[in-house]
Parts: sequence; structure tokens; C-alpha cells
Amino acid sequence: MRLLLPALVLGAVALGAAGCSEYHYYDIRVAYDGSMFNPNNISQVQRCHVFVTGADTADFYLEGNCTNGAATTNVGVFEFATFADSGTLNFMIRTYVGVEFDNCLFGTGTKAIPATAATTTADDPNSTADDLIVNMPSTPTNCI
Amino acid sequence: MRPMSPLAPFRKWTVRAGIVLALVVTLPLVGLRGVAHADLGDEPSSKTSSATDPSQVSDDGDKPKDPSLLDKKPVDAAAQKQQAPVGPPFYEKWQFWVLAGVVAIAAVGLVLGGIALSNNLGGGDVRPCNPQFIGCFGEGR
Repeated sequence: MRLLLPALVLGAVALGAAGCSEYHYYDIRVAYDGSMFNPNNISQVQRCHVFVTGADTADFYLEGNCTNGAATTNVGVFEFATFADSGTLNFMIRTYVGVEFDNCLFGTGTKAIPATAATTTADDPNSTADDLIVNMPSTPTNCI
Repeated sequence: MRPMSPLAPFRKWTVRAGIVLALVVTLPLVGLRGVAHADLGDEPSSKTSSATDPSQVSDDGDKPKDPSLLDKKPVDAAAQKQQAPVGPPFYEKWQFWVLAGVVAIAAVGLVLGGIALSNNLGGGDVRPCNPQFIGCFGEGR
């Protein structure tokens, strides 16, 4: 019995130290700015790299080369899972027409979302205003 | 290409560790039970003495005539009491096996509960990816 109390205290401390993590999901809609990109040059994109900074850090590649298989301006939605529930999540997307070199950069887009305690934060499906939009075109040069 | 989830190998490892720990707790108990039932030697046979007819035993000429000499002395009785067996070994008692079973079940429960608690503290399982999405990334994916 003398050991029971310290064991309980240690257990409580361990639980407190571990914390209770909870997943939060951010559904991000990706699109090209139709006024800057047309289906012809969107179809040339071969690499699509997303960086997350701020409340969480990650980077990953979107499958399908960010063309959605149809070279349309609407690429689709990806979901990002995080334990962060405060601060700001900064998303940046960089598309390339060849290998991932600066001279092959095709377009860039950014989006910032406040991280909240909500389980799911999704872009408005009826609006493109809150999308992660590739709206900063670059001119690839000597890109193989 | 999605990055591999860092949690998946850890969970596999903890489940395997739990199984190994449960086996480590259970197997010695099973082995001990085998020892309890093992034939460690012949019991002293009582057939020889019982088969002998008491009437055939010849009278002992050295037997003292004074009956008081035949009475057991108190010191001898105490010594005999000390030498008497105290009972069967602890592992032959059913209470021991009940207790061992409870301890084994509790150990397995603790391991499984610990794994579940660790999983919950780690945020639980990430939800499955919506097939309509072009990809799912981040924590647990």
C-alpha cells in the first residue's frame, strides 16, 4: 500500500506529460487561376510539391501531377491531418514542368488557415476564394 | 508518393511486445504446473508392513516390562511434531493456480490496456482517407 500512492502519482504525471492528442483535419481544395493558366500549359505539369509550415511542418507530393488527369483548373481536394489546434497553418504549393529545379518552376500558390479545435476544416465547395490557388506563374527556362 | 506513417511500425512493435510479454508471464506458470504433477520418485511402500501378519511377529524379548518406559515422552512427541510434513507444496494447492491465473490474466490485461491507452494518448487512429480526395497527408499518414 505504501507503493500504491507513488505509483498513482507517477501514472498521473506520465499521463499529463503525454498529453491527449486529437486529430484535426484540413480539407484543402487546389486549383489553378484560370486567368493565368490554360489547360494546355497545365497539362505540362509533372511535379506538384506542397509545403506546410507554421503550426505544423510537413511536405508531400500530390499525385496525378496536379492535373487531375484532365488538365482542368480544378485539381481536387487533399486532406491534411495534424494535432495542431492553435496558430496558423501555412500551405504553399509549387508546380514544376520537369524535375524539381527552380528553372522548371511553373507556378506557385499559398494559403494560410488558422488552426482550430474543430475536427474538420474544409474549404467552401461553392467558392474558390478560399482554395489553395496556383496564381503566381513562372516561366520555365531550359527545363529538361 | 505518400510518406510512410511513422506510427504503423510502432503499433506493430507494441502489439508484438505485448504478445511476447504475455507469453513470458504465462509459459513459466504452465511449466510450473508440469513440475507439480511430475513423478519425482516412488512413495515409500506400505504394502510390506501391511502384508505382514502381526500374529506372525515373534515376541520381542528385549521389550521392557515396565509400561511407563513404553509411553512416549513429551520431548519425543514435540520432535515428532516438528518432523511431521506441513502439507502439500504450495503449487499443488488450487488456490495457488487460481491466484496465478488471475495474475496472468491481469498481466495480459495490463499489457493490452497499456497499448490501447498509449494509442488513445497518441490521438487514436487517423480517419480513413476519402477516396474522392487526391490524397491524404500529415500526422498518422
